[in-house]
Amino acid sequence: MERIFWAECPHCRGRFYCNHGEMRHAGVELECPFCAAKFLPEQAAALDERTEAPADAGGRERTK
Amino acid sequence: MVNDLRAFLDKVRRDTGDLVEVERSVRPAEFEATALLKQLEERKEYPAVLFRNPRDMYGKPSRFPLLSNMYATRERCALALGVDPATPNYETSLAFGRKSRAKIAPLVVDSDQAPVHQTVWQGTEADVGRLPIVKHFAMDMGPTLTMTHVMRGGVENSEGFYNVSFAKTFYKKKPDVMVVSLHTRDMSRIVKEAQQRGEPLPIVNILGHHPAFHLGSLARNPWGADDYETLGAFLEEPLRLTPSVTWGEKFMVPADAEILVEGEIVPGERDVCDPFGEVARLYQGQCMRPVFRVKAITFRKGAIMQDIFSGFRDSFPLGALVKEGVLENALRPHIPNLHQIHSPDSCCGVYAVYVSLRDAKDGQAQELGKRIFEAFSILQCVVVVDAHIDVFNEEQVLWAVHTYASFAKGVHTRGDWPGGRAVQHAGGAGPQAGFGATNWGSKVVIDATRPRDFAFGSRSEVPDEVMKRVRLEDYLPEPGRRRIAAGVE
Repeated sequence: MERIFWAECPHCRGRFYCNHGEMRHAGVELECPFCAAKFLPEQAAALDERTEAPADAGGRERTK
Repeated sequence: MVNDLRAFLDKVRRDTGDLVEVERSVRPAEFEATALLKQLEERKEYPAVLFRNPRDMYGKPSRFPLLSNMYATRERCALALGVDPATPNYETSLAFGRKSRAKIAPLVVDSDQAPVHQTVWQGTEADVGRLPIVKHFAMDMGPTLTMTHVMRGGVENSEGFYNVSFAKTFYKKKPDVMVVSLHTRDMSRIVKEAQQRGEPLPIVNILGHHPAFHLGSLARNPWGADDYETLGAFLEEPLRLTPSVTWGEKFMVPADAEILVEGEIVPGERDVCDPFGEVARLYQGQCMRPVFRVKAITFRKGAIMQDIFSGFRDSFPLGALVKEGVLENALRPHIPNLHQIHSPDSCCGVYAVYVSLRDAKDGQAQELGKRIFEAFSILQCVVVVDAHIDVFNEEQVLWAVHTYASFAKGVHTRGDWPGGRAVQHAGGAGPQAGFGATNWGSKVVIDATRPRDFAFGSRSEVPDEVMKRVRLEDYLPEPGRRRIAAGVE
């Protein structure tokens, strides 16, 4: 399983996603695939890094 | 005659005719190649496509034609593996399994006898921007090379061995710098060991060879086994090797490849790559991967550059054949009533397998699932059916699921099977990384065999004897003449 987060480019507003473990808190600049702008995750126009809710907290039931 | 790409293209032209050539100029870096491939697929047409006049990264006509969609039909893969294209299903899986266990030692030829050294670009001439690199999908980081790479592992203790695997190499708008995203454990280990030694690691991108070469690179070899010997078995002749331009005899390269990009991975150098639309039709998330510093580009006269239309038909048999062949080899000794295995197009040949058994036993579906997940932890779903269900016919498999499977007792979902969620939580990044962000880690086995422990209905069939005796062609004319016979024309 690869945890991801979505980032919205502050320059072109394009949305793309990144590997959470490698890119979210590593101090590495993201590179927008649409306009090639570079920015830190904190500079993104928006971030979506929600994780799946556990099954017993109202998430999807996947066990029998 | 040597088994190379052009020999195979001649065979496709001669034997199947399912190769089309596009004369009009296309800009692969602006999605034009994949737009055309997708439209063919929407028409349910899957020919190999040779773009005769693609543009390079500077928008100029490239000297290299671009070949894609080579693997888009099992029939063409069968032809590549020396199997009758009329038997593209399990016969082809079995051929993959047989070849992946065999070995043929390579043959060394001098550089002046190696077609791939007919032209050598080094220094400023070695500019990857002159290649017609394809940008495939809307969210892709950039134009990406999608074929196999070769690296050498185990060099610290012995002569080492060659590992050949598919990997992606991202164009970074520089003539001599790319970023390579490696998927296999062995390739990652080779890079890690070189980094620990603090040495630059030679790596060569193989942009075109006989399709059996690329199919063979998917075979699973233990650490230390030389993939060049396995590729010989897939080609059914010794793979011809020649000393590389950059490292000489210290690193041998395929002499009959179309194009080789020789380069080095320098310790500590990493850069951003991805997203890329992966084989499971999901993008891989942006990440950091090793930098590939280009040293030389060598190619043969009239060289053709190969590419994969990833996540579409072109990549499905690549995922399916390796699972079917490897699982056949792994399961047959333990599961004597195994009939057939298929990884369907609906999962892109990545996440599911359908398995048929003769006289299935109680509890066998779960046992089978565990063994399958041990062999391929990326798999998420195993459907077990009886041998009278054709695993290559998904409609039949889903009929068995809807009709035979007990959703109360026959569906087994767990997170602690190999590769499952619990295992991944304990061990960090899971094996799905690299094939797109699915976010799922649990596994399911669906026992869709006909219930045996109580009275249950059976599938309706026209008697076999009558099916063989009464032939449609004796009662109805050929489809094209049917309308005439009926007085329509």
